[in-house]
Amino acid sequence: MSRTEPAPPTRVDLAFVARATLIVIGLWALASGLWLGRDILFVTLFALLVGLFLSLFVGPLVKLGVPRQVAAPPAWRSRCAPA
Amino acid sequence: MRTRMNQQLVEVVSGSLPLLNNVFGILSGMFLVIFAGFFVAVSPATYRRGMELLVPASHRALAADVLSEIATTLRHWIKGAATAMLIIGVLNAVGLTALGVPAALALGLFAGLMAFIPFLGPVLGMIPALGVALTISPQKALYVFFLYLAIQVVESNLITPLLMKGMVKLEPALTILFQAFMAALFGILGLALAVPLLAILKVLVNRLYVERVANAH
Repeated sequence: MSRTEPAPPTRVDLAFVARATLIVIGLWALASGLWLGRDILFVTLFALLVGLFLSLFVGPLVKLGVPRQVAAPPAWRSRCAPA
Repeated sequence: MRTRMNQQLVEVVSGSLPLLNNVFGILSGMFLVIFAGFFVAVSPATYRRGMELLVPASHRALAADVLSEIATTLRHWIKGAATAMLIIGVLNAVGLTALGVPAALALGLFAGLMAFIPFLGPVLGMIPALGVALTISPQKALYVFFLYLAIQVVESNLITPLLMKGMVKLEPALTILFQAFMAALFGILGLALAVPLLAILKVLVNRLYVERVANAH
């Protein structure tokens, strides 16, 4: 019968505490930032879904040879055109 | 009383989203969503490339892979959801017309829109139809209840499994709990976005954490 050796105790030094504190502060800041910008995040996610929904129809049209930006008004075309 | 009811309705719809809790906010939000959506559809590669460039060069290939998987998952989900919404809306409108319920088209449209929300959507979609049917007779309300039940059984056992084949699998308990969490925080808008957000989170956790831990062992 073999007995496993107990793991050596983890050393908690100042660097470890500082790193852990920074991670906690970083996570808190990230969560606060997300909470502050929640309206914009919602709008962005909805816009992404609308864009993906539209791309379901755009994809087959492009395959049929219709240019991708043909449905867009001229102002959009000039802004979206590659430099 | 009326002001209080209006305030409560706004809270139910937009939860704790301060910019979207008045008519102007909702209209500007819709405007933003539609136009931003059009721009994304016009040239998706630009935005995708921009997101990839935000990641350090050493992780760019992984980021491109993860973004591609998220896009595929969301595309499958939205295709399935849109088709299910259309089918449920049409079936409800036809069924309610056959039962002689007034405003059948509007009620069918509402039920179709509510089908965007899995699990809880069909219940929300049934409430106004039951209310309208109750104004005629309790028996009519019972017929409407069975109509919605039959459509729901067909949708959840036949239509949705066929449509959601290519999508990442979301466990029902996890989905319902996440929907409750999102509804508590953000109201109906949070409820509507819970499933796509959960799908994105699942892909991110799988690709960035679970696979790494599995490879490390």
